[in-house]
Amino acid sequence: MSERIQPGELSAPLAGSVAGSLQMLDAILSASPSHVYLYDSNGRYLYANTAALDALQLRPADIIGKSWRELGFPAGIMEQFEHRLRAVFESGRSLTDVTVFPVMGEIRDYEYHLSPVKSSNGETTSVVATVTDVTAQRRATAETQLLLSITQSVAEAADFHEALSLIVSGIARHIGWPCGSAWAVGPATGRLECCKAWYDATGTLNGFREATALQTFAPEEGVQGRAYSTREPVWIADLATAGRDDGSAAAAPENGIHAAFAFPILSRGQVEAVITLYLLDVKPRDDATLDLVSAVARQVGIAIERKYAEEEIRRLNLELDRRISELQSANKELEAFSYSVSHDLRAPLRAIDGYSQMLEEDFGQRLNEDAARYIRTIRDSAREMGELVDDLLSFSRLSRQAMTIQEIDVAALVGEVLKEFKDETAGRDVVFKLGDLPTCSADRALLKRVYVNLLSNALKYSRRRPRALIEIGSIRDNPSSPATYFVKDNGVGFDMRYSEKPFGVFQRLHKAEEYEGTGVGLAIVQRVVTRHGGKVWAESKVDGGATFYFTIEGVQGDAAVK
Amino acid sequence: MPQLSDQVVEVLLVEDNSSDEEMTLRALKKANVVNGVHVVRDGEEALEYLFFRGRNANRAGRHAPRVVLLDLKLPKVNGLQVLRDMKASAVTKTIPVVVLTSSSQDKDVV
Repeated sequence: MSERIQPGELSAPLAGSVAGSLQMLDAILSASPSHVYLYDSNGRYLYANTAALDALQLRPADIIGKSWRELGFPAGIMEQFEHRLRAVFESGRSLTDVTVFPVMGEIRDYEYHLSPVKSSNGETTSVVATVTDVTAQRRATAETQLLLSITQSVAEAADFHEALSLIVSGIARHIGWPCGSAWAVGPATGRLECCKAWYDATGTLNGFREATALQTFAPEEGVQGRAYSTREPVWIADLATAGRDDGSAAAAPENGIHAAFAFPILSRGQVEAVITLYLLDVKPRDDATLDLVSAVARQVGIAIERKYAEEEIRRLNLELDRRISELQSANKELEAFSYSVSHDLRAPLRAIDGYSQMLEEDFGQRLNEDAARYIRTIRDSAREMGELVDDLLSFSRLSRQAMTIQEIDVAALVGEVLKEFKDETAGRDVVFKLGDLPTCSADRALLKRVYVNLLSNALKYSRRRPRALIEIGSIRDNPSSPATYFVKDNGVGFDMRYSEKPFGVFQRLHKAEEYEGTGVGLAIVQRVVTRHGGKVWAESKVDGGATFYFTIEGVQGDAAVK
Repeated sequence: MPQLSDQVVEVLLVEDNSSDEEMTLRALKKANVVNGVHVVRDGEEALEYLFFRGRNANRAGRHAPRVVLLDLKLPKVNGLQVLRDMKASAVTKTIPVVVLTSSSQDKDVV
């Protein structure tokens, strides 16, 4: 970018003479890409730098001492400029404005700054104009706005056809082509059909519209068909000479249309639509327009893709809602089922146990030892099955019952659990070692269940030790991170190859004769911990004790379904 | 042998399962409650008996049992409804009721 040199900043010896200054300025300003002019109070050119002369294709001698009228510059533009120039002479204050100016047959945008050059008595003797070509910036801004408005149109459009209408009119208006349409492959015909998107700035192209809209095109036929099949923009400078194969070739010249231009809109690898634009003049392929339209097409493709993604999300959410309600009704059924299990399964069990007992009581004397043992086995098994049913029911109830999340004093809770184990540990040598147990957010009853089950497990499997050592504590990386709680015993332990197994329902690692239990306790622990958004795992070795770890984190109080 | 309903009914057993009935009667017998046990098989029958309706409109004695042994899961009218009706009536609200159930459902734990 060129810096503007303020004449007031020139050194004292040069500032006295305008002519002397100009030589100096010319040397400096010939390097500037901005156009620099110096005007006298009559609007005549006193100076023009190299960039200015190159743009106007004039030599210094052609311009110096002349006014814009003598040079034949466009009156409409220059009168406006002259008005601004006069204002600077009169006020002695600088100003900035914008204008357009034709340069080598092209209308370009300029920003100009007018700055007064003052004599020693403060009078404005001349004005410096610094003129910068801002065509590229203005085009870029306009294109950005176009892209933005098109992206927004697609996002806000009620459907794809409405979006296409907005795209067609947006682009046509921007590049100054008076007519446009959109084409998409009809699902029934497999041919390109004219969409309802139609733009006609002239209002005189109804004949052409009818001729176009009534036609369909094979995916390789016509300007739109070729854009569709090649997935590239297609440009035809003059439909009148392009032959009958090309688009609306027949109807176009009759309606005064010559140039045509089609480009595909691609989304997810598919041509979603082809947009065609028509011009009344003959116009050869123009790369600037092609680049712009390609950028727009890409942007539209992205916007369409986003729209599809949003629709997909909406669809998935609906699906999710549907599944949730399915799950909820399944859950209700399960509840009804578990009720009948609790009742219906227990009734026959009660009869098996009760009648065995009656048999034992009434006929015990007459039965031999084998028969008595059979009856005992029947009764033991009935009782065991009763326990399994109870455990299974409490396990399934755990998954459904709503959680009340609150801050839990874990140390106090563990103390409470240990008190409840007093009877169970009576007569045994058990040492409980309590470590740090920070608070956490959990459902109190459920967390208590976790500790009851883990401690009951630890006590059971350390039963054969002369002294059971059970450690209850936690570890954490730093005081602010969530704790990992653990319960460690010095019991019989298990093979780590099966470390996942004890968390399954009815899964056991030891023979029932050695260690009683239904194999539901740790499954309940896992269910509770999972519902709290935590994890549970075990570390152990055969005959080397076991440690069960769990975390309670990220709990938001879930739905009763998981 | 006289019919149970002809005697003073001490215990009303509401139970639809015949095994449970037999076991309950046996337990009562062992506890020396031999006479005065009347058995009904569903909730509707229980209400008819208690409130002298239907087949029991003119039952002998027309007095209330001393105690009701009530199963919850019953045909027609369930046990909880029987209990509710009993508690709503001035005549029956003071009769002690022992609920017999194996359900551990919260809604059944009164």
